[in-house]
Amino acid sequence: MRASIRRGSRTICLLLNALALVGSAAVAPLRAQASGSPAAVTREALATALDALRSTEDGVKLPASDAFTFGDATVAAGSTHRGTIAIANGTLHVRGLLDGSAVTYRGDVIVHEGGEVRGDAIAILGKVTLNGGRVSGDVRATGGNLARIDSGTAGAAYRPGNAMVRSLALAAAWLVVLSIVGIGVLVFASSNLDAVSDTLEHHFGRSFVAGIVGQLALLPALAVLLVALTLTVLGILLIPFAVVAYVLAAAGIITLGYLAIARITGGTFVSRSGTSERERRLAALRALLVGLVIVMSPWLVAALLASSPRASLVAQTMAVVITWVAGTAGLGATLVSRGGVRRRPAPEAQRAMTSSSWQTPTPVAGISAARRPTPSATTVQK
Amino acid sequence: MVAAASLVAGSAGAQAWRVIDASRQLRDTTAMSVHVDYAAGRLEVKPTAGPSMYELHMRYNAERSEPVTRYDSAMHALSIGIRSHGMRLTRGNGEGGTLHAELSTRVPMGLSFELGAVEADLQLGGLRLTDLAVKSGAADVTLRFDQPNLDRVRTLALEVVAATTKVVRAGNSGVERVRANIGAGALDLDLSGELTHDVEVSATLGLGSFTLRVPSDMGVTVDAATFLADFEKNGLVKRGDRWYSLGFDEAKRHVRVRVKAFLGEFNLVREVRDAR
Repeated sequence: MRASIRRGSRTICLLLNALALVGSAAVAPLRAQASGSPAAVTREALATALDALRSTEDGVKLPASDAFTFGDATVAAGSTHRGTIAIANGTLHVRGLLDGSAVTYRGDVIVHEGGEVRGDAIAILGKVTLNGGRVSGDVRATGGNLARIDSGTAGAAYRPGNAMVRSLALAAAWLVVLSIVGIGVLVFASSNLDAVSDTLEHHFGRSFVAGIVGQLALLPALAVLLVALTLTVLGILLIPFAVVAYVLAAAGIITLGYLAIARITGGTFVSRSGTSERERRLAALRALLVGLVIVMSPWLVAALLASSPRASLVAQTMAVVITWVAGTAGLGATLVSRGGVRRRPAPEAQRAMTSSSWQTPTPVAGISAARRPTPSATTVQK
Repeated sequence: MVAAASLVAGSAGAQAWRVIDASRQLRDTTAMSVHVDYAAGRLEVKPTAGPSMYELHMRYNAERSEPVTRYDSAMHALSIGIRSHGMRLTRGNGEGGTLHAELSTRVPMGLSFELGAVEADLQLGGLRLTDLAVKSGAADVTLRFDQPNLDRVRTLALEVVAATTKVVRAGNSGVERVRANIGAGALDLDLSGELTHDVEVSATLGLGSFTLRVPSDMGVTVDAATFLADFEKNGLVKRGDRWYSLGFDEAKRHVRVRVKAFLGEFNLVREVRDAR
């Protein structure tokens, strides 16, 4: 019994020893890997980090990633090294003359007594220590949360590729905002939008000229308003409110005109089927949304070309011109129609109204009366 | 809970806050120009008598801003600061980052600041300033000369858009001319300190206020062109087109003020000289 227990305990000890041996064999390479510095930073990660730093930090002069060596390095006392020394995962000791820059990534730069760096001393995720040595250029240590640098995402935020995404997002955001405002206008000020659209459709040239005049008069009108308020003395208190109200009113007028342009543009692509009020409203909404996409499309195109500076500049210039023309005509139409309160009759209707054809004297008997053309035939159906 | 905590930690760490320590050793004492451009956050500037031309420590969010440290050795021009990428400006040290800069007391320098939404404490006493310009947008700036300037500031140019700027003991700067342009902000200029010569002050006010504090032993003359602006003339007498303080002719040092104000407020405060 005792012998069997002893055999059993020996077997258990052997098993435990075997397990320990296997465990130590498995751990040993890990320790070796941890103490070996090159494994901590790969060249790819280093390149990504350097790119991110270059694109986000102004004035940083960093060498290419393939110029980096891994591990410690020393410029010996009395020796001269020409060119930049860049190391990763190690400490750079400068005891002699370094005729270039000293750059470390995940390591320190130490300039000892008698050592000199004629370029910059830069430590990324490390520090620069001057132990009596000299540095002619900048001394710089970058630290903090560089996790995004390692993943390369921070720098990517400012790369041309992302500029396209940001521009697209901006254009899309404007489109969404204008769509929401447009829906609000259709719901609460549909008649005003109709009237401005009518004015634009039938008096585009006049609206455009009025828009230019309106733009030129915006600031003088504000100045006159402020001076008038100032002269009343008590009105001085109202100046801040007046300025805000004026800006809001101007923005509202311009937006109404721009939406009218969008609606007319979209209307040429959207069929106006149906005669009921509901169908008419749906058609108006479709026309507005399609029109907004069309009038905003130059900005979307410019956003898509953001990665190419020249093409982007041309596209943006075109977008500005198109938007300005649309905004100016829209502003003018809003002014001419007095914010959509006054509906100007269409030229054809005006001609019909002024025509004397319908005034032909009607014989007292025999012929049925002529029908008078009415402007509503052309304007109300919009 | 661990998952929640890791989520919180993850979101907190989503901002890429970085720290930079930068400096440059002083090689000579050639006059230089220094420009500080800071969009948002907290800024502190003070002198250093150490071996560096400048030393700075900055903390910034790399997602929204980028640091500027550039020295042009040919032009002897230094630019430092933190520029914002977008319009998200936050003030104070909560979100806007920090910049602590120390400038050498050995180098004569023209110093200029362009500040956005910044809370700034600028202690410039003890430097060798020859010119100083501060342009502040929506900043809260305190500019102090705790010690006398080692040179003489020829022109102190202050542009206050919608900010509050306070200049304390500007007399220590040895300033000769002050040019102030105030939009809708407030400027408080205290001319006390070691001032041994006359000072010329010219200010243009929009809707803001300008308070000029002058030691009582200095003579003051004011040429004010105001339109609906407040200007308290207590203690001043009119001679010709200008207003003069009592005992102006006997005073050893004078302040000559020209103010153009539209709807603003100009206050002249005579302060008894203290022993600071």
